[in-house]
Amino acid sequence: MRKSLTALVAVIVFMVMLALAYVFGRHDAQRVVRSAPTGAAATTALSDADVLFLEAWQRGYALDDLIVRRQLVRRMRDTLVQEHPVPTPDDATLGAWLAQHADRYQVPARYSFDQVYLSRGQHGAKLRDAAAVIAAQLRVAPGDFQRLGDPFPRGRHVDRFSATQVETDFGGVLARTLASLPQGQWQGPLASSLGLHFIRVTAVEPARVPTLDEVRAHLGIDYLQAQQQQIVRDALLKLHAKFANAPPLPQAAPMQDEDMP
Amino acid sequence: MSRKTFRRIVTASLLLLAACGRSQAPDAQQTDPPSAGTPFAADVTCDGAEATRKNAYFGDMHVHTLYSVDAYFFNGLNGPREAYRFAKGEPESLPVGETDPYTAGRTIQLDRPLDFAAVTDHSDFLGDWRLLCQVDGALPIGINAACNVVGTYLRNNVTTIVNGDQPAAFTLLTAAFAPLPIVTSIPWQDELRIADEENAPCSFSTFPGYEWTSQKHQQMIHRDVYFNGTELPDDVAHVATPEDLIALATGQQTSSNANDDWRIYDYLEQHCDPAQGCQTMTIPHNSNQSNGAMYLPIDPATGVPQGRDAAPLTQADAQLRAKYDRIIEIHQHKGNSECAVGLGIYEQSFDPSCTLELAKNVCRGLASDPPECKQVCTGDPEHDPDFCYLTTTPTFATGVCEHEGHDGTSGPDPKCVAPLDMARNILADGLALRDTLGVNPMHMGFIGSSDTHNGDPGDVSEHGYPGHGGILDNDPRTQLGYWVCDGKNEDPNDPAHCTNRKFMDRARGFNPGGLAGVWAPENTRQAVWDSFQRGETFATSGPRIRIRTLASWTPPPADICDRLSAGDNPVDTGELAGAVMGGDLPPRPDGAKAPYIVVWAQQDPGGDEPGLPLQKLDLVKGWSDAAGARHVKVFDAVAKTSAAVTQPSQSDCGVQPAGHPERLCTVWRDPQFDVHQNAYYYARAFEIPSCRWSTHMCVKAGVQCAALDPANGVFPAQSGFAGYEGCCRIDGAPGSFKGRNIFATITERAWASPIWADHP
Repeated sequence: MRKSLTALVAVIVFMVMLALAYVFGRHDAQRVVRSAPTGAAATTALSDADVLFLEAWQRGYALDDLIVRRQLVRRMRDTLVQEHPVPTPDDATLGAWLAQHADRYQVPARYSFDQVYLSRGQHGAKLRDAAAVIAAQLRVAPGDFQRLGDPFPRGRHVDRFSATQVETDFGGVLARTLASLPQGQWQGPLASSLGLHFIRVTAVEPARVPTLDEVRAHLGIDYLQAQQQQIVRDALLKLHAKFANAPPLPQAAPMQDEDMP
Repeated sequence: MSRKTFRRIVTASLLLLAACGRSQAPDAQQTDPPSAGTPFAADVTCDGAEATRKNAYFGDMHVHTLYSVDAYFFNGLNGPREAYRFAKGEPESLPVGETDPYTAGRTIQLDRPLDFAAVTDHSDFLGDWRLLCQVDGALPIGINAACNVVGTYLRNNVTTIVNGDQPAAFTLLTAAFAPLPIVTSIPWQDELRIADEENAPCSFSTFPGYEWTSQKHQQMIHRDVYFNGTELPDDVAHVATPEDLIALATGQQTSSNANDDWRIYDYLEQHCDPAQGCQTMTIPHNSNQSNGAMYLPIDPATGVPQGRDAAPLTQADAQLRAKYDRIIEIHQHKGNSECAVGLGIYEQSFDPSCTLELAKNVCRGLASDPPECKQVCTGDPEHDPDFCYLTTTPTFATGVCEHEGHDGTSGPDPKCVAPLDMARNILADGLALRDTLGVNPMHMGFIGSSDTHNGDPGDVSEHGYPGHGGILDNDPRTQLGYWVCDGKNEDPNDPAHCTNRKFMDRARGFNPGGLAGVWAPENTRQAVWDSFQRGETFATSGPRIRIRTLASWTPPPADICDRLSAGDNPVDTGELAGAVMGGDLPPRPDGAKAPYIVVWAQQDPGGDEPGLPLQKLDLVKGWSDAAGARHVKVFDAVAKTSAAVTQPSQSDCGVQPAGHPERLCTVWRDPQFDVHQNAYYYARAFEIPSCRWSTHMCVKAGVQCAALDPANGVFPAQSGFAGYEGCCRIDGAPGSFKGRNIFATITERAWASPIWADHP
């Protein structure tokens, strides 16, 4: 019982300390950061862990510790971004960003088309023969296709599909072919992994640059991220120059399964 | 006569005229008229969407990013934003390597976007490690002793972390932070906001969620938790509590895991109110790694398994489980959970298809091995499944559990695998519980997903599999396996001075994972969510195979296969009374005999590379009889290709798709139907065989296992195969090591959610 109570008290004290550290840390983060590595503990008596840490620090143990190095690298990247806050972009800035990266935000082209499908499994070795019959029928009566061919999940008319949507249902090969087909004429047979297709493109809405209203939220996110990445890149250039003649770091110890307890 | 009716008659006539050797039309003698049902009803909002016409959509519902504590350390680049963008088709980067997880090295990109995704980071320690250990950046690195303990533990226990142990230090720290909701609420709010920002109605749906990672005592009792709606919880639920800290302080390892599943249901009951605009569900995963703890056996004395507080499961808790566990994830990086060698306790004969990506090897060459091991793991590495040669104990090589229990009491082998770790057995037990409790707590549909820790949802191709967790397994050596010693400073290439030398195939048991499929009238959050709630879902082992089933008491239309091929489902239109996958058959009309089960599947059309054709459909039936006994029977190849199925080429992994169909369809009736049984029926569709990811890697490198150095079983540097030792089955001892190339193949597949037929 006594042991449990002792443990409980220890737990409570530990949690309170963490909570206080969190609260004070958030309110005075900058001051504590600047005083690292000794500042956070400077106002209180040093614990065993504190002095061990300080000794390890002086011996340079952090330099070859993979985890510590990762933490520091990550923290440095975050600090670089925090030291150069990016102002919220206005519409003019976003508009310029959109113009500069028009390809990235392009609304894809959309295709509408009729199709006659021939199932590979249904026709087997006679697939090409079946296609020849369909081709002849479409030449004679190009408008009378609704009863030709085999059933297909998207039916015999596809309306305003992007190339990505076409790829989903027809496969990548046919989706890539679609952009090169002329409008208003039956083309085929065109192969996919599902079989053969005759396709008559009925309409194409070309790809276009979206309006600012359509993508404002997306632009804001991307703009911010890009600026932050640029900040890090600029800082890295300076840091590379700063440490151009620095001696190589000790090799970090790799993760070792054999260290398992 | 309407044009539509005329079209159907013509189509049906053509169908009857066509000799259909591969797909089977309904029995021509069936003359009963179809019974009319109720049309599927849904409010659709996207252009071109029709309420009664559903499409197949594919997604990944299990994705970890650097907001997960383990992924943070092993891959520091991709957060929720990057993960969703990757799912939409944008490129992202993986780290340079082990020593630098924060610098972009390799660029990856899906060949086709997904339709939906959910980021499900671990709720314990959700968010930036820096936020926790450095108090939001306020403290310098290295002064938080608890964090240092955890960091050291994580680094030193790569295998155990990935495969399900609960690190004591991890518990300590998460327990300490549990009373500080602000710690995880900040990153959780990030996750919610990013999910909203990346959601794109009618093209890409996102679902905020997290993983409830109970893995105490080496037992994974994991559930992913998902949300939909407008008023979602402000924070995540924590597995670890202050009780765990007390357990540690008093000399116990961790607290009990006996109530961890009920705890998450209780939490959601209290924190997600549908009346306030919050929808939620849980999806259990990796039952295959629970060591028998996720679903406990039915106690013959009570007719129910152990439930809350180790007492018999109550009806109320059965209802609670049924309410939240709508779906089970049966395929992912850490293995398949449909069925497995040695675990078919309800089957009279071994199902040879139960060899797909078994992350645990119970065929260890022991006298106690399950009898089917002799036909599965023959000792021929050119034909055996890869799992036959996994040696890491107890993570991979273990035994079948002889007894199961919480708190690590399953055994006798550590990390044993139990029959109720597999979905088909779990579902069968649920049928029996329905008779005992009046509710089936395991009435679940199927999905697959990845469980990636790289933030790359849907990256499930066997070609170029980037590994499970960033720098954990990001090169041939760490992905395929390598020699290790116990001594830190010992040289694994020097067997004479290597203590307890062994081959560490830690990551070769992983696989690229699977996908979740849904049938929905449009791609919006609500439509996809509703599909999950109905169970109208399917799992795939990676390829975008579509599979669809329906059932009815009266014969389906004669052209049912063509109707389904045209995207038209007569149950959805109300033309036919019945059930679609995930649903319950309506009450059996007087005089009706066995239900008609329709199975339709179509191959993956392919993206950059063409998809592979299908070779067969299976029907799997599970049932409980009047005495409460459970049974499972596989009806093999109810439809199949007419061409011979061949293995891929050993020289280049090439396959021969010619002669195999892109679709298979059949109408099937259960020859052993009994009206007094509760039963489920689910279908599987199989591709022709192809190379496993590890085989692709080895074949591409042209590895010749004869080049292994007999002295140490390692490839000499001049061979050009250094790091590829895991391509070989290595036998012998120092001085006489020999290697034979492993040529592991797989049959990719899809699983339709079950249709349920309960007796009155």
